[in-house]
Formats: sequence, C-alpha cells, structure tokens
Amino acid sequence: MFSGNGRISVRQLYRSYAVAGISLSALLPPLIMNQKSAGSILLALALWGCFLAGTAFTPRPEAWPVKALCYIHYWILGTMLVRLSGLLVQRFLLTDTALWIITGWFYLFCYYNVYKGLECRMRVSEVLFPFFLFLLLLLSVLMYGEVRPGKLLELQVFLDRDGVYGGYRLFCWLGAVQGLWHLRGQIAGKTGYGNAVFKIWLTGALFTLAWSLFTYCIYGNAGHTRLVFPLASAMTLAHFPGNVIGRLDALFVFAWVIGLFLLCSGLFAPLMDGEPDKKHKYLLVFLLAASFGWGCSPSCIEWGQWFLYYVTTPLQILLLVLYGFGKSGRKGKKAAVSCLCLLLPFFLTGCGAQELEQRSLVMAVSVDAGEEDIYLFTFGFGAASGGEKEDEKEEPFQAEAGSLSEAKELYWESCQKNMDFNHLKCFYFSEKLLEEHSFSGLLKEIQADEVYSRGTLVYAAQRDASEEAKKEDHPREGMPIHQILNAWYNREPCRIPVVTGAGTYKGEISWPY
Amino acid sequence: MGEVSRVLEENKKWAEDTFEKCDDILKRQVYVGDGKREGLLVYVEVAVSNLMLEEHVIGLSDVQPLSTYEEARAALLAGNAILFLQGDDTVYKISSKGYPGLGVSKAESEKVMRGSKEGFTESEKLNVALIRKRIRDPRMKVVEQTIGSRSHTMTALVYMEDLIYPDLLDTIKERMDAYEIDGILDSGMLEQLTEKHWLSPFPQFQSTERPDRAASAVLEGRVVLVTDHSPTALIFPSDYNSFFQTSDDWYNRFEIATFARMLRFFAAILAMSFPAIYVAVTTWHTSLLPTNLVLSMAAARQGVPFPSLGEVLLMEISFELIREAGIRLPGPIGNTIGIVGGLIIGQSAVTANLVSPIVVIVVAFTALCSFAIPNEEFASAFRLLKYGCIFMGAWLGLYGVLLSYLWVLIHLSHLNSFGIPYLMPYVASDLNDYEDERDSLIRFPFHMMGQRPIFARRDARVKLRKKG
Repeated sequence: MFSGNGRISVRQLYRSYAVAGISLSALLPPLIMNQKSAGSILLALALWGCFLAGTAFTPRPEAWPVKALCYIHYWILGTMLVRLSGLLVQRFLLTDTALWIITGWFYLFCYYNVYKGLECRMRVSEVLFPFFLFLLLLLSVLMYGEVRPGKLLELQVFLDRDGVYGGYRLFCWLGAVQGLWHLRGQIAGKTGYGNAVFKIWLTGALFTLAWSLFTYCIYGNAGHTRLVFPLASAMTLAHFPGNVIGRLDALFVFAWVIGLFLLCSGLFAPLMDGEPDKKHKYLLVFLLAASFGWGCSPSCIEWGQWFLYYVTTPLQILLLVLYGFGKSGRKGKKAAVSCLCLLLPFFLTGCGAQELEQRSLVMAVSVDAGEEDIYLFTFGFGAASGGEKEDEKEEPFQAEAGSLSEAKELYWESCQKNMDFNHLKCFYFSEKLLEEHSFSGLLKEIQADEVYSRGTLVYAAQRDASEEAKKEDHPREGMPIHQILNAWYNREPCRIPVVTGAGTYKGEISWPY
Repeated sequence: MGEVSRVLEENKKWAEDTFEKCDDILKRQVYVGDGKREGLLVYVEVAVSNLMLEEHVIGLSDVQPLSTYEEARAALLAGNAILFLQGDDTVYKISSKGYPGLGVSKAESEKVMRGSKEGFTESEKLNVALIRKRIRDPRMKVVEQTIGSRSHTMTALVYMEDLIYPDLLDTIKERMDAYEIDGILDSGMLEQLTEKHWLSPFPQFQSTERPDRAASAVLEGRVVLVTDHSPTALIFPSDYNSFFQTSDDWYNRFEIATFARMLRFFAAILAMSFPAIYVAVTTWHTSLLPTNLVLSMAAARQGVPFPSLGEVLLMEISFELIREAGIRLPGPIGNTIGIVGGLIIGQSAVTANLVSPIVVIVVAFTALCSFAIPNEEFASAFRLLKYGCIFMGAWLGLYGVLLSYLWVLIHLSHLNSFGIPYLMPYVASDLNDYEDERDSLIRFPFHMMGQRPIFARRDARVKLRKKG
C-alpha cells in the first residue's frame, strides 16, 4: 500500500547526525579556543573529514566482534555525554537536584527513543532539527553585539606538539558522529549515503569553525580553563560574559539538551542494530543501566577520556583501515512493576523548586572590608509592585561574613527566605577592599558561581559601600563583572567606575593598584 | 437463508413469529390487482408514510423484489415496507421515507467563515448523497456494510476508485470484521474498534461534520467512512497535519490560510505546555523573566496559600468543570455558564486569594489555545497531556517540559495511520517528493499545489495542471 516506509531518507540521516555535529561543535571548541588553538581545530576537522570519508567508502562492519568493539566505543562516548548533559542541566536549570535524577530521566527517554526503533528515532531528529537550529542561531544573534572581529588578527595558525595533541582530542570527541556508519545499509543507494556523510561533515566543520571564531571574537585570549569541563564551555557561551545573553542561559541549555539527547540516542542506538527484538531490548536496558551507574561516578569523564583518547578511538581507526582494505498474567505484574519503577523518580524530584514569595530578589550587593578576612556584606532588595501590597520593600540586610555563601546562610537563618541573585544589578566594592589581597578570594567565589554574573555591573565606592546597596536606584551603565574577572585572571589592569558617598560619579580608578 | 414461500399463510406465520411483541411493526392485509389477489404488508409504523400505503402501494413506488426472509427482515428494519403476495415466492421491498431524523442543518463544530454551511445529518444515505452532490463522478464508489449483530447499523465506505490504494479497503474491512458487536450507535464506537494504536490519546481517524471536507478528502485519495445515526464521518488515513487543516484554508487566500495554520500549530504547543512553562519558570527559572515582572508576580502571590502547581491545577480543573457543565446544560444556559463561570469564579478566586491573577490569565490563554485547534478530539489529546506536562514542569522545571515535549514527539513519531507516518509531511516527506510540504504549516498558492498528498496512489497524484 505504502511503499518506502521502511527506509531512511538522506534528509533524515543528515538531520540526525548534523544535530550531533553542531551540538559537539558548540560544546567543545570554545573550551580549547585560545590564541594558538586555530591549528588544532583545523587539524581535528581534517582528521574528522578523513575518518568520515573512510566510512563512506568502507562497507559497514557485519562481524559481531568488530561490531562489539564499535559499540563499546559508542557506549563510552554516550555515557560521558549523558554525564555532561546532566551537569549542564544541573548547573543551569536544576541547581538543587541530584545529578543521578537528571541523568536517570535522560536515560529513560533515551531508552524510549531507541526502543521505538530506527525509523522513529530518525523522525524525532528530523522534526527537532529546525527547532534546534533556530534556537542556537537565535542565541548567537543575541550574543552578536559582543563580537569584536578585530581580535581575529591575533590568531596564530601553527601546530606544535601540544597543538597536535589538542587537535587529536577534539577529533576523538567529534568522532561521536561516526555511528552513522552502521546505518549505511539502510540508505537507498551508496551515493545517497556518501552525500549525506559529506554534508554532515561540512555542516559540523562549518559550525565548529564558526563557534571557535565567534567565541574568540568575544573573549579573545582570556582563557577559562580553570573551570571544570564541560562547564567551562557552557560558561563561555552561555553565561560567563554575564551581559552577553544574560538570563537567557536557561534557553540556551534547553536547546543544547535537545542536541545532546539526539546525539546520545544515536550513540546508544547501534546497540539495537536494526529492527529491535525482545532480546536486544533487554540487552539495551542492561547496558543503559550500566551506563547510568558509571555515569553517576565523578571519575566517569576522567576514565572515559583516557579510554577514548588512547584505546577506543585508535582502535576505531585501525578497524576502519583494516575493514576497508579487507572488504570492500505475569504480564500484568511486569507492567505494574515497570510502572512503579517509572513513577519512582517522580517522588524524588521537585526538591529544589521554590515559590516566588520565598525568594528575596537581590538588586545590589555592597562589600566593605572588615577585620581579618571578614567582609561586611549589604544586600539591597527589589520592591514588589503591581499587587495590592505595592511597595512593600524589604529592608536591606547586613551581615559580617567570610564569604558570600556564608552571608546567604545568615540571611536564611534570620528570615527563612532565600536570596535570589538572578536579577542582581550592581556590585559595590569599597576602595579599601579593592586594595586588600583578600579581595581575590571574593572574586574567586563570584567566578565559580554563575548567578553573580548575569549582566551585573561593578563599582568602587569611595567611602562606605554599604550605603550604595541601600539605595533604590542604581546606575545602569558601568563595567560588567566579567571584565574585572578576566582582568583578574590574566593579571591585567582594568578601570572601575567610582561612586562617591553623595552618589555622584567621580571618574574611574585603576585596579589592581 | 430461508426462501420466501408461495403460500401467504406461511409468510404470515413467519412475520408473526419474527416480529412477535413488536407493537411498532404493523401487519396489514391488502388486496391487489382487481382486489382478488391477497397480500400482506408489513412495515414499521412511523417509518412508512400512510399516504403511500393508501394510494401508491404497488406500481408507483420504488419496489425491489427480494427472495429470502433475511433480506425481507433487513429491509423492513431499515424503514421500508415489505409486501407478500399469495402465490408469489418473491417479497417486495417498498421504499419509504425511512425513520424520522434531523434534516440537513448547519455544521455545529466546524464552523467556517467562507464556504458551505451544510453539515452531515444522522442518516447514512443522506450523508452519502451530500458527498455525491459534490463529486458527480462514477469513479466515486460507495460500499455499504452493516455492522452490529443487533443494531444492524449501516455504514458506507466512500472513495475514489482510481485514487486509493486497494489495500486500504482490505485493511479497513478486515478491522471492521475483526469484532462481533451488539450495536454500533455512533461512528466514535467504530473508530475505537478499528484504531491500531488504541492506547494513544491522539486520534488516528479524522472526524468531520462537513460534507465538503469529506468530499475534499475523497478527492485526496482518502476513504470516508459514513455511519448511520452519526452526523460525524470518519476520514482515513490521517496525519498530524490534517488535523490542523480547516475547509476554509483552501477557500481563503494562501497568506491568510498560512497565518491561520501557524497560529493553530503554535496554539497546540501552548495548549499543552503553557501552564507547565508558567510553573517551571516561577518555581525554577525566575531568571528568565524581566525583574519587574518577577516582582509584580511575587506581589500577586502574596497571601496565596497554595504553591504554583496547586493554583494552576485548581484553576485548570475548575475550567474543565465549567466546560463540561457548559456542554451538558441546555443551549442558552450552557453558553451563559461558560462566560459567567469563567468571569465570576476567576474573579472570586483572585479576590479570595485562592489563586493569583496571573494564573487566571495563564489558564484562560491556554483554554483559548486549545479552542483554536480545529479538531475537538485532537485538541482533547493536548488538553489531557497538559496535566502530565504541568507535573513535569513542577518537578523538573524547563528540563521536565523539554522531556514532555520529547515524549510526545517520540510517541507521535512512532504512530502510523494505515501505514502513513503520523507526522507527515514533517518527517519522511521525501516519500512524496516533498509535495506534501506545500500544504502543511505553510499553504502554498493554489496553482502551485499540483499534486495530491501521499494518501493517493503514486500513479494518480496529479490533481492540477495548466491546460495547453
């Protein structure tokens, strides 16, 4: 009746794996991007192209030992990527939720997607591709204002030993796309498959270059490598600059998770290898459960990377070369138990949710130097408006504490509410504090916690900074906090605007002195 | 099969035995010819016109000879009179006006600004005639079949012989014969019996009350299943896209039609997830909102005793109750309760500090979105899924909303309607050389839609070409 329902189209294959390529390109290159890494990126793209071309000219592996080796490679990569996705979600969307709950849900939906079979999985990718692309491009446009193309002149294209190694590592990650090799038999005609592979590589390569240059044009040779992977990347693109896309980071992660979900489904899917039967479905459950267990371990990335760089990827290359040359009642109970298992995560989530009235929106924070590494923090809050209890402004809160987190705890103890820094407008540091060595400790805390960098401006207060936070109106122009953080990280001077005790501006001061 | 007897007495006995204690079925002795030939007329009291019986019994009316008792019984119960004659082994079916029912009236549930206002009736024959009126082509075939061992409900499959895949007919007949059932009282019962993915909340048959919509489907190479006693015809195969199309999409200019379709698609997404997004954003991701909005929302929530999830659920359930009551109550009261209930309950709930004003707006907007979906059954699926989405949004924030979207998408990707991928043409549209995309989210100008959709046979897809 309906011909061709069982085959995969070139468009489906392209969309499915192009999403994978774009997701990886957004995740990885910004992480390694600096003045000298252009050569590494070009090397990675060349290696990647050669590898994919190899899959286009080599028949897909049929012998089970060879397939098993490929599957192990995908399984390791998939596990690492699920963990990275979980970390992204935890860091940017669900701060107080345990990682295993987030990844548990992720695995559940991956299983559901793979369980439904190849055709269904391909259709999901086909539909999501335009949305994914639209969201990513939209966010890029939002960041466009921060791009300074002049920085590209600083780039140096050369390859030293470290550069080659960096390029190889990037290639290993980009190799996650090679799962398409196993779909070769399902595409109508060899030409269609070859075209799709070329288009996938081209798309991935262009996006990799674009993201690399884009992030360099924003940050230059600033370097953010102190942060833990993959947060460095996420911070770079989504958050660290603060005033670049500001509060839209949640949307960015939303788009990113779509891409990573499709990528991970693609990596776990070859385990099913064709139309799934019952035995394979159970095997998939077991392997995903094992992957989930391993993915929850913090050492997952460390070990996974080691395997990826030194064992499985070289093995994949070897296989490709060798292969290329060599070939041309109880049912109801079961359902109930399954439903219970599915329902279990529902009872374990939702712990981090918080109602609006339990939050105090911090609009300004001022910090004065105290004695012996103790700071005097003053938090100014936003006034509620529009309701019946209009202008019920919360009184500023002052606390002497060794760190911002300690001050937050003190606030919680005093009024049982949480401070919400998502709408923070200004930081005021007293001039005396800026002179002190301990100020670095405070900056370190601000850098590590992303909530302090959402478009926040920094000022130096000539006398008592605490008075500034108590004011209702705050200046709207000043120096974004990421600039002071970059300067601090690169040990370069920067100029911070100063406000006087009377609230007027008095030029800028240089920092560090 | 019992053959009709030549002896009138035997026929009379058969009629009396078969229709014993059926007071609505009358048996009347008549004489024909020169008044010498005795006969027996059997008929359903209300279904057969008295005038016809008095004046035009034989000769003038539409008469069809039948040879067996089973055929005679079926004809009688269908609302015709049957006549036995002494010395004749044939029983005559005398067609009549049939059972009483509503006449052709306006379609209630699929209103359009432009186009025919006619709606289907509750008679299968009339409904088929309404389609035939629009397609006067002998290639349009009508295959009738009765279903229900007691109700003997008449159904008709209407299709263009040269456009459909023949396997499609075999499949539907196979499914219709797969069950033995007492009675089919509406097309909805038939729909549920013949659906392959019966667990899915999404309908796999498109239902319509509009003859022009049914005729359009027949011309697309789809099959229309008309059921007696039901003003709703079923169209199959159907895909996700077809549920967003309305008749006036093709009658209006393409820019307007495209805009309306985009709105409906957007509305469907929001009908499912808008309350969930509200809960997720207010409880997890306040950073996404502008500061002033967060502050005013926080102020509005002051004194509300329930968490956001609770107040959204409270309002959603209230709204569902109002809707349900509005349907059950008589016309004018039903209309009033929707407006009065919405306004008064919403306002009172806000005044009593049970919910915040923004939640009323969210729920009202969601309701508007669900009404913008043209097909009621399809809209109901989104309405139902909304609750799952709300819980996921409350438990896992935007991540939960994303997972809900993924679940729905994976589910829809797996669905087929008689072998056609449900998400056509958003997936696998290469199977019809991307022609179906011309009548999807964007409706191309009419002269550019030269091909029939994927439903039609591959060799009969051209529907429009320029002359000369």
